[in-house]
Amino acid sequence: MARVFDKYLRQRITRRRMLQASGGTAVGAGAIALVGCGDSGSSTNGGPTAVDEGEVTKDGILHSSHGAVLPTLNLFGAAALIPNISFGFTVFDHLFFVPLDTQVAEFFLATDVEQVDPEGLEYLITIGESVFHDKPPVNGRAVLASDIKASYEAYAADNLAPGLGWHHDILESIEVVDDHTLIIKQNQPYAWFFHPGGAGSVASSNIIPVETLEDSFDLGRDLIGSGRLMLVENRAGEFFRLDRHPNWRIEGEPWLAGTESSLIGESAQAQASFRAGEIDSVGLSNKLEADEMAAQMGDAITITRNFSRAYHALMLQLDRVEAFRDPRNRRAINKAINRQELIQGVEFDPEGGGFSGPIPPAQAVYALPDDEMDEYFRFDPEEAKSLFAETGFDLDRTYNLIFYLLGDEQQKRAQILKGQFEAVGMKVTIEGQDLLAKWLPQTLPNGDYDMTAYTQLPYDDPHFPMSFYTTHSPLGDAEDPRGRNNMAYFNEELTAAIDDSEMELDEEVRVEKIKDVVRMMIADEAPMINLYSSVSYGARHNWYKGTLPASRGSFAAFNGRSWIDTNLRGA
Amino acid sequence: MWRFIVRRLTFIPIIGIIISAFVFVMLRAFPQFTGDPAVNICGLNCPAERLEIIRHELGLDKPIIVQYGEWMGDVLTGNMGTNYYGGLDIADEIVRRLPVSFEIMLLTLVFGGTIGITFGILSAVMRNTPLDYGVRFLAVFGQSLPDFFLLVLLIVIPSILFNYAAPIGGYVAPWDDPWTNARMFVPPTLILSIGGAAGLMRLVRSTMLEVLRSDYVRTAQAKGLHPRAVVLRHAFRNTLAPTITVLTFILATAFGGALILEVVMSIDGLGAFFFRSVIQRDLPVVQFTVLYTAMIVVFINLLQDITYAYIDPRVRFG
Repeated sequence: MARVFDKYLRQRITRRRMLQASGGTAVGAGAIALVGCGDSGSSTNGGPTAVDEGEVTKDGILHSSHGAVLPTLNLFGAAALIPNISFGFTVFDHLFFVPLDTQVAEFFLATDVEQVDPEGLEYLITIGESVFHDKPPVNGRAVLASDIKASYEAYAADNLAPGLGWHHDILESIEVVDDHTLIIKQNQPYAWFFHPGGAGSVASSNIIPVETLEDSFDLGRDLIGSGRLMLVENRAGEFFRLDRHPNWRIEGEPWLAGTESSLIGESAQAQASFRAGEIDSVGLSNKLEADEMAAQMGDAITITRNFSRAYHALMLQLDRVEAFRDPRNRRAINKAINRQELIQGVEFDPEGGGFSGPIPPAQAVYALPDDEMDEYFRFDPEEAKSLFAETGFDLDRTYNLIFYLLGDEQQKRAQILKGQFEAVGMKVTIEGQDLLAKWLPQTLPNGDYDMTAYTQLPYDDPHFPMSFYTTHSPLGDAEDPRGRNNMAYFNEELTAAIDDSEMELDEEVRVEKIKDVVRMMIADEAPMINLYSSVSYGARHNWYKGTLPASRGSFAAFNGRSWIDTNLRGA
Repeated sequence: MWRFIVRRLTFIPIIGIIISAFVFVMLRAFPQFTGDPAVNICGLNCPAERLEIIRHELGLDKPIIVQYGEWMGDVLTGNMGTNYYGGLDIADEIVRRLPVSFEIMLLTLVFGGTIGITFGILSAVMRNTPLDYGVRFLAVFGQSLPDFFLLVLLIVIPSILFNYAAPIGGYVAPWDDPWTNARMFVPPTLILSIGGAAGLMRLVRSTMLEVLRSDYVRTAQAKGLHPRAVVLRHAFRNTLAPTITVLTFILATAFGGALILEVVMSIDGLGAFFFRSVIQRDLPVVQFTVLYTAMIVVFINLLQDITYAYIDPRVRFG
């Protein structure tokens, strides 16, 4: 399964090519991806369906849904990840972004980037002309280099939001040269500078007008950016309406007049709304649902099938369960997991997923070859039992496995894992928690669990997948003298190896270093045990056109050329 | 009659104070359930100074009696503050969502009452006929099935058979777009009213059967009155007291039904707001909504008492 991505990722790139790639403005994306946004909403294996702009009807509103209430719009603080990701693709503009398939930086607002020194410590960035949305207090003024400086510095000052490692640890300074030029200095070379792990993040590199960063502006109530869509209505996180930015820097785009996203918590309701044409696309849980939808709707819809970039993981907390400090017990846990049973039980399809090691299979170029991973994936309950016996693992204690409540799959996975752990003698209880109110802002970052099973976001590069194993993880107590890691896993040697790989600017050398890092993780039975990546299914009405292939990664969500054929659907 | 109403009305503030104080104290007396609101907002890693600022902003550093007094003052002046997550103005949210829940409750009452009374009377009058058997079977069937199950069927079956689903995108008032409003609310409230209608049907049937065997009904029939007049004007009037009891019960429980309906069908009403606030431990919203729910029940009971007094003068003089 992992090899599916090889054809996109085998292309070797160099630093020079990355910097030469200029003016590659986003062709991308219309879908508002709210809460758990990822690779299902706008992804399709059909590829772009419209290229002749003359045929395009530009008065269509994309109707979509989101599965949970967005508790706040605030881009900063403990719950900031979700609003940043939800609107980072649409309301806000960015300097650049690196698509998964090419790994070559595409410039957005940036029109030129000059690497000043060979170590990549300093970048001179020139930005193009763009204006913010016409809402007070910004009132549609021009985007300035000083806004970028203020935005990045605001993220750097946020000690609560996850995923700000680059801002906190590597970003040294930003100097504004003039209204359209700035210099970004780093305190070390950083391979992911252009990537979502660095200055190209949709979650933490949104370009925010300086006026809205002042205390007088309530960021919890409204968002003003310079992205191709502007937020015009937010009903308590349950309904969003975004209209086309009339002065978007790419003339003639976006092709959508706007998007509307309604809260639909129940998947049955979402599918019913899709059948009725109330929403234009819908995520489907598995092949069974996809087949049923195809049988019911026939040629009126397109079923999409993609290998997800997201991956399901299990985290063990070493402070909460001292026995998890022993790698033999962690190995026992891994050996107790039958990944194939999980795929069959949750996806209802033996081909519905691919096993995931520490690097998810979507990033195949960095993952170890299958023959090296076979031992890691091997299901062996007898070995698990014997390892538990060898270490004297406390089988009388009850271990709590926490999952978040969103759809049915998380609970199913937790139930199957519970059964598998009980089969090797463990006593396990499972507990579902509200995703946005409890699990995401508290349980996960604070390590308030014995074990937690969840789905990782669909990352575009290995930075975040590796960062969870470091002593400066995006999750965990920042004040902990041992370092920051929500699993309380403090492996200095592994952290040093990961840091070293991230400072390696040569692509080929970096790939090998990352593979070595993965080998170290496996050898130490690191306590974040990845399970598998799902094959994700979705459906879209045939009037929803111009979507981009999933192989583009998150870049597809920047698609300004998605459109609704109002001749087919109606306005 | 007016004295009776005034007497009943004087109890409302007392009940309101007791309920609100109870809820207020309970929500603060068990921090293991509610957690520290400041930590809930800011997270466990939040710096201590920031936690203190949040507690101060929320007034949590004051004695509980002061907190309660201030909160009650705010409620009475319509200033309910903002919720913890997102800073929404609670009063604005309630004003926006109230019509949604109110319409659900009203339609549930209308449908439940109409179906229950109509078929209850028909079943009693046409006793031991196929219609009676059918009505009784449906009554038991309707009472046996939980609302949420029927609602899921309502979502799934029409969408598969007719590609039909309720409109999304938020509340549309009946005077703005009656057709969209009807599509949004009539099918689910019909489903929601089934349980209450079934109970009411059985009650009306058994009470009517009792009344139809009375001497005065036999006399009315012997006088040659039209059967419709006998049933509706003479017999049914004597079933009104228990019927009203059940109708007010339907209305009171319709709030719970509205909550389920709003959550299952993603309708942005007060029930869904309340449900999420409980999950998120958003105390200001929970406090007010519990008070609001209690007040609704109190007013429904008042309405019931007044109606009793109106239809049966013995009640107000008793």
